[in-house]
Amino acid sequence: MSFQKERKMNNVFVFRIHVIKFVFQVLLGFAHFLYAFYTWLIDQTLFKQPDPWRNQSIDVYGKYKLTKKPNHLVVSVCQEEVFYEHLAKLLSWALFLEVPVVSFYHNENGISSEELFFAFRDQYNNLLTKVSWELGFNDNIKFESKKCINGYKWEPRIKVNILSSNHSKLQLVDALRSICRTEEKFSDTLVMSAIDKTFPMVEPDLVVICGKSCTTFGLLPWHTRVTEFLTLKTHYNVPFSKFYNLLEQYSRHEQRFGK
Amino acid sequence: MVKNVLCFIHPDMSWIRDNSMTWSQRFCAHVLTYGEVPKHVAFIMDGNRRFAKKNNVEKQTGHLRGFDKLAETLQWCLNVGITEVTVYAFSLDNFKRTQEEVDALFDLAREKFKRLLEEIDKLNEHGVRVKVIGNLQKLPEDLAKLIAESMLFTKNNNKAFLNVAFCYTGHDELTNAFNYICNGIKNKDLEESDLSVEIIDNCLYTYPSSPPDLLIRTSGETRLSDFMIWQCSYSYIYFTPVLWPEFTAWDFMAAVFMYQRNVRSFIRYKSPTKQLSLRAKQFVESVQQQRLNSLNAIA
Repeated sequence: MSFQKERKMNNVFVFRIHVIKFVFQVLLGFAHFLYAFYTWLIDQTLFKQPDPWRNQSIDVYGKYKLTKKPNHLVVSVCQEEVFYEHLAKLLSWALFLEVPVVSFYHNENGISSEELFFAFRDQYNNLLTKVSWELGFNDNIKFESKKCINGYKWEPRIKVNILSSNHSKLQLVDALRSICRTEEKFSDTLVMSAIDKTFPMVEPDLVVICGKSCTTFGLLPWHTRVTEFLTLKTHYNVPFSKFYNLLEQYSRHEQRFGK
Repeated sequence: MVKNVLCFIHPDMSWIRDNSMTWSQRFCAHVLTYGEVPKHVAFIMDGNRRFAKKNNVEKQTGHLRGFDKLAETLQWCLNVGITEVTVYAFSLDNFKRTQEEVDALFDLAREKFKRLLEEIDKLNEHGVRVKVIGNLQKLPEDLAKLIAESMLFTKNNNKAFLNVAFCYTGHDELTNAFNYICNGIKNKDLEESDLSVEIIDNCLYTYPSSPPDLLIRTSGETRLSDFMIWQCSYSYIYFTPVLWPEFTAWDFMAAVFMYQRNVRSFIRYKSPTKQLSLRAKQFVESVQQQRLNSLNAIA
């Protein structure tokens, strides 16, 4: 009798624990749902602004003046399907705001240079004279670009790179390999020069992470020591004002370098 | 699991202190534990000086308040089941500050590591391992000795881990690892085919810790400032405008909540990758042994 009673008690106890667990899980799920709903509401009220290249009003240049511009802007699109039409738009806006180097990063080699080039050519044919296609673009594209600007003078004001898995941790493995091959004595400067030699690159000043999560996805670990990371929820259909706000935010930030 | 680490004697001076959460905070923390909880959290504790300026107090007071906040935060971490915490206490770049401020920071560190050594029995009882990552050679001798002792006395504990980055930068850590690996190749302990992401992972100061799942930086700066640049590749980075001494349990819980919302976008890259060869494994062990020997030499 007593054994049966004990077992019954035990069952009740286990049942209770399950109910409590369930209640807590539901609470957490509800909290996440509420947050998702809140962010959705905010997205609905987004103020949309037209493309500055297509906006004919005169004071447009004066209006978008940044006090500090990034020398190298990286747009990281590791978390989303890549929409070339919108990447091309971002590129044109970077050109408009006079950023000298722009790179697009995907940690699994997910960006096709051809498609980016064609998307840009289709939308902004008249701007091709201002673009220099660099890392990740093959000679065919460079040739095609020259062909398109036939008759006009090529005066590049922006360099475009495509960064892939080789520009993540693997980059440092390559540098390490070259350090091990040299006969020189190991020193800090040897490491620096080896990295500069294997990947001659301006340190990015600003990385715009597109997607939900603020994660670097391994982007240039050595070079992003003091880089600013800002997030953009998606690169799909992003309005110019949002992009501009990010750069403005960057120009407000002050670097201290440990001081 | 290790929740009782908290009942130390003088709570306001101790490394790990009594529970400072209100009942509503404890309730919410409990709700959070029903989702994915990060195992390893890293903190960049920024904003102590701005806090001091804002409240018209000495810089040192700001740093002291910062340490108190750290003790409190460790408590919160244990409360939600986070077993490993890494904090950025002093960067090699901080040597650029005035001598007066650097000395004051070292004094604070001395005091706190002395305190830690006094509490060593309690720490051992609760299985807390303290590890200081960074370039100890750049420190004053007595402070380096205190640090080495703290590490050696707790080295066998494995229930909770506290890593303090002191005299640390990510570049320095990588350079140090490269140095070991290059020597390994020159002495024929390693071969060129062993050079991989994994061997670098295994030669860093932080080995054998897993990389942080969540990195929290306070005070509104959106940089890593040379902190765990290699390890944070697939971590969720949470930037918050709050100054470190004003960081509350709510801010902390918000960070964990946001981690839960985003973990799915990068978790798949975290699975273990290539196995090391037997030769490389032996090499990693010898690197660990060399590091241990140099600690013994300091202490």
